[in-house]
Amino acid sequence: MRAVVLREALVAARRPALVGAAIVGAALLALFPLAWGVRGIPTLGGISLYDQQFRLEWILALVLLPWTAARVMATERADDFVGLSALTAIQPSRLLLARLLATAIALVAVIAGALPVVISAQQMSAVAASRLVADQVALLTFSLPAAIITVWWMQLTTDRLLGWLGAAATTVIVVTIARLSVATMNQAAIALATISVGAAAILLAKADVWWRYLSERRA
Amino acid sequence: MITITGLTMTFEHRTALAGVDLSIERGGGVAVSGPDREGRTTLMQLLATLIRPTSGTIVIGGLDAVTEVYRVRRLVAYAGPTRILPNRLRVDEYLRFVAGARHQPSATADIAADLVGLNRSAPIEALADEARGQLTLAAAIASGAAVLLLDRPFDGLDTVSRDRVCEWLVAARQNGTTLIVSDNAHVAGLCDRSVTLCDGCIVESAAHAPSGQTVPPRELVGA
Repeated sequence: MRAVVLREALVAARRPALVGAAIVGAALLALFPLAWGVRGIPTLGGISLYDQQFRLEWILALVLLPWTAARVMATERADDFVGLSALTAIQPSRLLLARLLATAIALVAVIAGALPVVISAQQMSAVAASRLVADQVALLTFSLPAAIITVWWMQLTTDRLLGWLGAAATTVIVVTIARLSVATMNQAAIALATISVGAAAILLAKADVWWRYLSERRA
Repeated sequence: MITITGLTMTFEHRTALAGVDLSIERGGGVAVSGPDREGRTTLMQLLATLIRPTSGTIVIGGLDAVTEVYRVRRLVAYAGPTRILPNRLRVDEYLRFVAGARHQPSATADIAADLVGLNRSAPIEALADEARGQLTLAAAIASGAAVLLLDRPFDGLDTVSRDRVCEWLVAARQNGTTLIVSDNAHVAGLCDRSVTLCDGCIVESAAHAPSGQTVPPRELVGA
């Protein structure tokens, strides 16, 4: 299992998309105070720069995290999983679990890459550090559902673009539903993470049955 | 080590295997030959648990290959026409991953790469089809599996690499590794038995004198 996690992490780390997403995310967040100043967008009166930037961070996460996940994860699916399982003598569910973990870690790295910019906004807006920690922990937690949704989609299609678009659309829908169901974005993130663990459990439970044998086309 | 009884495999429009019976003891070696598309690869894929037989039983190491697929996979390694996705990995990284997953020391991976004559630091995406075939052979060697299923393993190997691999396979058999080689080249020297498949049935089975260490590797396998 350790070898598989290391391999998945290595594959993810080798993709330029990982560093690219971290840079783009941090750069766009950094541009926000540069463009609007320390008070942020005036028409959003009463909301601090930090709060405005936090909203932007969520919007970026909804688009960027599924894209990053779709770009960085290893490309095996369906019959390839059967071959990989035979090669490594490891069950497809464990291979998939390793992929989920590696992808979630990659997404955490993308979110963490923007932390210096976010901390700057928190300092400029004089927001309590505890609030910053709670918000960022919620966002980091969100990397889990984003990874799980994208892994699901990437098993359905060989096309990374379609996988990303499908995962991004699904992510937006579930986040919207979650946000409408609970009081704050942070609660929504925690609820989503909990639900997504259930979705991952279903996928993992099915994987050993779905990908036990090659399809007749490949046999 | 391996007992195959009444093995039948039917695809949508054709019967690839029709009631094959075969028994191989631990450390045994069987060369499977026969015309193309007459069931050789299907037999290897069934033994590798990559496909499910239509009927019949395969028992490997006392385990039923249909009901205990994932436990059987720990015993067997298959080198054949398999798709390898590069995923930006190098040859050594790929082989170390296989060795690590199979709980083998990483040195096994380096030995396997050297045996088949692959450049360890070459990116997989830069490998030609033949070299990718070598990589699957190296992966099977690196796996340390008790049963090696080699489907046309010498395609793409130069003479020196072929001799090295043969030497290694002979030594592996002496250490108890069971070997099944599907090839129309003269691989019989590596094995103590050969069977010929035609129309999905074993039409010929012959026993050979056990290969001794004194036989030069290049005489074990003819081109």
